Amino acid sequence: MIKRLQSWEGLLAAVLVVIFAFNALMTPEFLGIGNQINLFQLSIEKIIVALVMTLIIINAEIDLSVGSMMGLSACAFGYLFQNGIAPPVAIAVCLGIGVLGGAVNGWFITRVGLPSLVVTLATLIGFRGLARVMVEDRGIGDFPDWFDALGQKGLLGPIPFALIAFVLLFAVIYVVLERSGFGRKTYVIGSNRDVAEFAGIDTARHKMILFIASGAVSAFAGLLYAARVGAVRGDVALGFELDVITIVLLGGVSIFGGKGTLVGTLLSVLIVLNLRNGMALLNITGHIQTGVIGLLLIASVVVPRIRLTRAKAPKEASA
Amino acid sequence: MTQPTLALRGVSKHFGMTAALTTMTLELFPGEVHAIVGENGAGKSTMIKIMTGIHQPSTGQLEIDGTQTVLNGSKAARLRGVAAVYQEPMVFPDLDVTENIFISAEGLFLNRAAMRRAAQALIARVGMRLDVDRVASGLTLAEQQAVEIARALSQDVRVLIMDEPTASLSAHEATELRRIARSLADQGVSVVYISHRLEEVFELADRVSVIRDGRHISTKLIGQTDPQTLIAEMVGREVGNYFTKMPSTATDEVLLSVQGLGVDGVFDDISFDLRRGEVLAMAGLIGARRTDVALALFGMLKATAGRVTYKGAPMQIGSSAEAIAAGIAYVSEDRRKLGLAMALPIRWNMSLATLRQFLSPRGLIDTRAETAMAEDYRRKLNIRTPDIEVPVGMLSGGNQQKVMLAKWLNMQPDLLIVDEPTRGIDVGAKAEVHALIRAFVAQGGAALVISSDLPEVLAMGDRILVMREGRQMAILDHDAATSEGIMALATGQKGAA
Repeated sequence: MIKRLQSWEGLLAAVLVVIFAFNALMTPEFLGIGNQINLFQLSIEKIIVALVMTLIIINAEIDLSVGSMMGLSACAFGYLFQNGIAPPVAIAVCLGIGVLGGAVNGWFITRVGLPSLVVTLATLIGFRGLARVMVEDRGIGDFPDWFDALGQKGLLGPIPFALIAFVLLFAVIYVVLERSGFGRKTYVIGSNRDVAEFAGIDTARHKMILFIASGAVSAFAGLLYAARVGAVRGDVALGFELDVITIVLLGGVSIFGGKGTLVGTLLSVLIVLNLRNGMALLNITGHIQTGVIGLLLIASVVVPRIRLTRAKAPKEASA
Repeated sequence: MTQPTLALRGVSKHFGMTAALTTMTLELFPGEVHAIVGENGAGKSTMIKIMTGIHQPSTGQLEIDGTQTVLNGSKAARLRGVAAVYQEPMVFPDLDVTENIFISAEGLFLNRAAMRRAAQALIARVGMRLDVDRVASGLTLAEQQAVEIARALSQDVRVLIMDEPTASLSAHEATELRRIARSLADQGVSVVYISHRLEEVFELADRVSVIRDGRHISTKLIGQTDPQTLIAEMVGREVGNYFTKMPSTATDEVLLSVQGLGVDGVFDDISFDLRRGEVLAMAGLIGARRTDVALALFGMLKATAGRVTYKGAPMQIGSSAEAIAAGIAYVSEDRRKLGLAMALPIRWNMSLATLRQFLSPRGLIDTRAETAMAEDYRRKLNIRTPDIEVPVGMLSGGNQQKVMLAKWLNMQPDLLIVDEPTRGIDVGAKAEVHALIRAFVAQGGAALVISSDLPEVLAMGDRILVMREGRQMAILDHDAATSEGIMALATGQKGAA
């Protein structure tokens, strides 16, 4: 299976190279550093959340509430700012909301024993509702310049804060997943929770940590969004959860848990971003772009299946 | 004699390399209750599945009314009048009795009133008083079984297979069910009655067949046999044929002392001592609740009564993590569900219960040490695999079993609980697993071995604890134990000592 995963990543890498080469040939602007950074910037919140979502899905769970948590965090920031709270305090409160929201998800999933699909569907609605209550129909803006700059300007040369945060978070989660005991348990619990329980692993605690991390990172991403756009509204990050999950699944993470890598998610992020960028540079409309991503997702599910049946067939014949 | 309703003629069934049935022959006549007895794993379930069209014979044939027949699936079997009722009734809990009986009725518009009347007639024929408008989830197990039987009758059943129908019923309900079985036979149905309870076999059956190791051993009129003969036939093979008892290595140091252990509604009053160097085997039939005793000791089931002394101090264990910390390992009988993460590499599975051993202070896994451990066990336990990085699911059952043992041996437990250590693995691997467990206790550990395989119980157990339906029947010394004696206790032919 490890080999198969590696070859799945190989396939993703090959697809990426093709897209990259095609884009570079078709449009000279593509290779410019400005375009490359811009490409990340436009989706940076989603791809940050996709990193944690990778862990959640490997753990055989799902968090549908991430988009709403991003919205809630962004709107809470706007609300607090408007009510005269100092932005650093507001940021801390928003991250706290993320932790709390994640803990609520985790509590219902691990202590009450409800499926994460149901719990996070409920909080998807609930968090969004809270966001809209706070902001109503207004847009809130005029944040301090330093805050907007974090989202819009380069911090290290042309590289913006959010991209640095993405790279750091990627590095941390990569080490956790590939090298740490926590990462190992993430796979084992996702592969077979009962086996993990019988091996003395506290699976409830593990899932609780994952959902809190998911909530906190989503809240962080919501703040990045507020800084990048410079204003918030009740519909911030609406429907982002589906894009996030699409990226993770396209990266080869199994929706049934126990399988997938963070590198797969990264390749998938790069493919989606470059594909969209390439199509945009060719003046292909957003709707068609979305359709193409959808086709890719279906292909990502179908292709391994075909390869699996091929690999199985000779064995069954000999049995 | 009349023609058999259904007959198996030299039927064999192979699953891969294992033979589940070998040249099985059986004739079922109209109007008889035909009991089938045999140890767990003797091939009864496979035989039922062939008779109900779920499996096809590898060789040999199935005859209905003297004609060779191929039953393609359970629906085909039902259309030919063959149906089975199981220990756990398969009713749809949210539907009422009528709907359950006519679950496979076809057509867009069903005549509810007619179905209701027919359901009442069928329930009456079964001999039950039951409101046909009641929802199935509110019925007792016996009533649910009656519904299942009525469903079979609605399709003109001619062969009704009852697989351990009374195993989860109270004494009163069981009597009721036996009365139903008898009355159906009197109406001309061939009733196949599979049971571990020999007393009810003798009360109910007209004829009894013994099967063992997938083979037909005998078929006799009930008057021509007795419980002792049946048990001898069920146990059969020369004990020690391929398992020889290894000498006891028991010391005087009591590691675990269990006094009156119980879990409400599951088992009660289990008491035994286990010494270092000793193997205590737990014998019994399926449903004897031996696994639950193990789970209570491993912290996965909360004990409601009794005292456990472990390493000389009272033991309170509330979770598997605490059990592991205390040096107790539990090797599950269910490799697929509870034992191994089949899709993950062998190395990962082996270190699963002992991951802490390989963690650096920062929580990172020392892969080199982990690999060394896995390679070590691969060599010591003779695990046949090209690579410790392949998913454990790729291995044969015997090698999977060894990986599971490695996982638990690596924690260097004091108490090793092994549930069905050799289920579904070949004879060579069985001997290897036995040697591993014996080597473990010889080095000062103690083992509790649960097994439904009598030769294995006799080969492993320095002492043998026999359980039946949640109760401890006896603890026998190895030298005083015989297969027949154990089977008599396990089936309730002989009372608790």
